[in-house]
Amino acid sequence: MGVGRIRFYFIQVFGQFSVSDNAHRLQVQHTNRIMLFKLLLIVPVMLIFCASLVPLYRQICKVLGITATRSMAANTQVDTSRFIAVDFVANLNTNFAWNFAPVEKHVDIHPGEKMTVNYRVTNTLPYATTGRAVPSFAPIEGGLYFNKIECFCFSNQTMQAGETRDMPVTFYVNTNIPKEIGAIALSYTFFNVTEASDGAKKL
Amino acid sequence: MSTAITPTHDHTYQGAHDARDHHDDHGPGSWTRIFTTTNHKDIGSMYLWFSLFMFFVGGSMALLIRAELFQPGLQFVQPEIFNSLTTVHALIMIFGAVMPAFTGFANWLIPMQIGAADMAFPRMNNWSFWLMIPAAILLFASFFVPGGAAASGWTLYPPLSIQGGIGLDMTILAIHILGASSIMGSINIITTLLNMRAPGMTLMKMPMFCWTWLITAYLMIAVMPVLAGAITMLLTDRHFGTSFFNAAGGGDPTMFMHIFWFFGHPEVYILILPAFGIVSQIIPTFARKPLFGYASMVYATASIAMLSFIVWGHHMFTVGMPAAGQLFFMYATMLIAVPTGVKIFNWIATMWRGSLSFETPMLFCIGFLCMFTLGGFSGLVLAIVPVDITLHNTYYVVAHFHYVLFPGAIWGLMAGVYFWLPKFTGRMYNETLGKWHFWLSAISFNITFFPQHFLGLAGMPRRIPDYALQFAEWNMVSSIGAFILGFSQLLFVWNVVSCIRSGEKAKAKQWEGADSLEWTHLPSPVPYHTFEIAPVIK
Repeated sequence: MGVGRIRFYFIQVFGQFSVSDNAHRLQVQHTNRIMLFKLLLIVPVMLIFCASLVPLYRQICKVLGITATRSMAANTQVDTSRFIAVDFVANLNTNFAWNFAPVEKHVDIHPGEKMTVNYRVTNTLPYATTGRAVPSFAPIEGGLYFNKIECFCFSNQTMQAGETRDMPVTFYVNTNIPKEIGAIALSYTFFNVTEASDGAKKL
Repeated sequence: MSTAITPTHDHTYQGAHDARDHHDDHGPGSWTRIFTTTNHKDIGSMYLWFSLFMFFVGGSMALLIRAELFQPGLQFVQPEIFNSLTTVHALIMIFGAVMPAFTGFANWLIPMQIGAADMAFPRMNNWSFWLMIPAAILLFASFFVPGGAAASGWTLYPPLSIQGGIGLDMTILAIHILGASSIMGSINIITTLLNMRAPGMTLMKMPMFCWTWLITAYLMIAVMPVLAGAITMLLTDRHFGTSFFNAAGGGDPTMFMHIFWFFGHPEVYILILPAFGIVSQIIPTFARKPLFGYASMVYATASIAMLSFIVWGHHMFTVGMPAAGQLFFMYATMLIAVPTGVKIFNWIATMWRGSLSFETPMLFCIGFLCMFTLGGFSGLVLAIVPVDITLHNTYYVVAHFHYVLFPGAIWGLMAGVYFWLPKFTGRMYNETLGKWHFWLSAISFNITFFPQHFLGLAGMPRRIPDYALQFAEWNMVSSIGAFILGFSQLLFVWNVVSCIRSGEKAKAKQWEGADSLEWTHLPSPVPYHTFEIAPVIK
């Protein structure tokens, strides 16, 4: 096959690396295949890592107090030495044709004092729609101390065509709220969760 | 692609001439060969031609963008099309031009530089390349479906990316395919580099190009699956009722940003590290001095790669992250500047007191050194949280990444093309034309992108088809530069094509300072099969 004709005058040829040596080629293929399986293992590992980011994200947000949907109710006494100014804000997600506004826009409340406020919601569409309200706080840390006992944001709200309803939020501000926070704004955004007929959600 | 067919009859380098070459002599332009070749040189050439083509497609989109931004008002395209242009321009440049071009060089050079006959998995190599064709077709076709191409920006943030038509699904599929191609290519590269080096070539004797590709390949295997996971979650949110990123269902759009940028930041290092490798081959050649601090270059590259996993938050400083998080990402990002600086200083030290000559590859490398450093500086500016709050999503960011990507990745690639074209084809390019290409590119690039720093500092946002009047002057300057830059790249194509067809015969060691195996042991053009018998490295 011509090995004899090949001369590397400045390279030494070792027998075990001769092209005609099938055993060496097979050995290289074998080592390569082992490497292939080791490297292929990384792919599902990283996919599992990516999937694990979903619950990890939820956990980290909960630990840091950034998550805002639910909080544990704890029994506290009312702190009459100070007031917290609470503002109520209502938003609708893109083009969601409901009327959504707070009945009380502002209350001054003692930490520990229980209060119920309402949001007035009207479905202006000629058919039933379902919405889900998602709360958000400003400042973000305010959410750590704002405990909702009952809230229309805990579940989907289905409104018939033309229906108007007052939706309540029962809450108190925890007495361990630091002195630096004197005001909290609670903002709800209503999302349309009525199932769309085609696949892609229209938000 | 007709470059490596004919076996050489240069008897000085007889060693690479094998009787078997005569038996494998396929005719040029054979369709069977195009589709079924497993030869690393053929596949490398296909990658390079593909990426050149995509570079011009992406570049045309950029020119459309700059044409629209030439003056205030909407002159040429609808806003939705403009958004698609910015999105697909980025996707094509990143996934269609830069990454395949580096992979093409990896295919061509890695076996030759380590004294191996071919890559570890030649058939998987073929599939890695051919997967990219349907992906590119999907991306192009997405413009013509109802709803048009993806228009959410290449970062595909929800909830905007949850909307939009089937074009976005085609984009997601295309990215999946490209990811699979990249992962397989990376596995091939790692296995080749770790298992098939010639005897005597320890890891610390490998050329720097091989080192940077080894590290890049590990990065790719690690983060491409994360991107795949993120866009799969987008797909299920769009069509299968999940709510990963939908607040109404308990999800969070910010989570997408975390997952995407966990991929996205290592991705930008994937885009630049092979260029570091190319430059590390070329500068010592034209300085006629060994690379300064080889070991520290290896460690610096590895440090950059490892650090790249912990800085993703600097793309998200404005999402409402706690200050402690912002600080961590800020410090980590500033830290990456250290090993990068080590590499820049080492390249300069390589040139120091060298016997310098300024052929075209060297010009592109020096341009790389200056402009990439500038891009690194603007990156450092953006790393500072309070500064980034103002500059996030402005044209300052656009200026930054174009400075690191164009003079960084693209000029690295062009330097590589000019440097290795004599070796691949056996012919020399036109040096005068090459110098014209460089200087036109260098000057017009700065005209295009330097003013974008000013636009960003003045507050011009990204991804807008129309802008307030105070931004008009610099936008006009930038657009003029862009058109000169775009058209001057035609000189490159002309040079490459005429080199291949009728360039002067090149020498086996065309560059006297070159010292890697392909220059010292192989003729120009290299034969179809090389190093069938491994050389022993002293």
